[in-house]
Amino acid sequence: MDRKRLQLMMLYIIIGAILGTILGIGVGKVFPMLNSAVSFGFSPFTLNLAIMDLTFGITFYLNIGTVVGVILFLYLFLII
Amino acid sequence: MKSTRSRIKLRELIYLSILIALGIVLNLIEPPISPIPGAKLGLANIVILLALLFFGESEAIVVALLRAILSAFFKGMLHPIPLFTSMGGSIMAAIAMILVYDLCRKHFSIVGISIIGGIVNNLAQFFIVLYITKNSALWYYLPILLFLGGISGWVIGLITKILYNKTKTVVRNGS
Repeated sequence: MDRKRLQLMMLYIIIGAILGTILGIGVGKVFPMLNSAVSFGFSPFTLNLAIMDLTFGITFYLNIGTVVGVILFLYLFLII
Repeated sequence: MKSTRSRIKLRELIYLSILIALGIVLNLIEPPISPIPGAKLGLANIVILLALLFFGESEAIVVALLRAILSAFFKGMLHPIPLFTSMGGSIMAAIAMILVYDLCRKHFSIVGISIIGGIVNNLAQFFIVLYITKNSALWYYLPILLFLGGISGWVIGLITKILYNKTKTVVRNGS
């Protein structure tokens, strides 16, 4: 698998995750099962080093729609 | 061998930056269609489609993202609603055009891809505005927006087709 194709696969996975999560949130208002989510990460904390302040935090939000979207887009990537 | 490859990368980089600059300028000078608020021709979709046709999928996403951010800087509007609508609209249009271009290239011409992009652009902007304002009266505005998206996508597709046919030998072969 050359570099261009690997790049395209990463792009497809990211697009699938984003679109799947949005669709999961939207459809989850009708079928609440699709929006059963885990969210993990850590909330922003500040590290005070006297000469500078560092603030860092990251949170991931995964629901069923994310998984469905990633699998669907990987399938689409494999058939093109 | 290595210098040839790096020359090709350099050429690609230069063409991409020309496309981004053209997108910013087209976005700044495009005339608003006066009687309908929010309806624009969306001339910047030309450069996204050209980047997709010439270079590939990731480059189209990069052009769409940088074009939206930089033109917001140039206009001096970092207010969230115009920034998010412009950015979300162009990225969603780029994603839709990429999917159509990858999956069913045989059945769609350049004009067809551009019409899909125009419609998705307006649809994404509509949903972002709906999410921010939560004004359900906006739903009555959706059919007009979809129709205008189709029309503007058609016009942009015709322009892009002419541009692509005129410039493809220059961009592919370098001279």
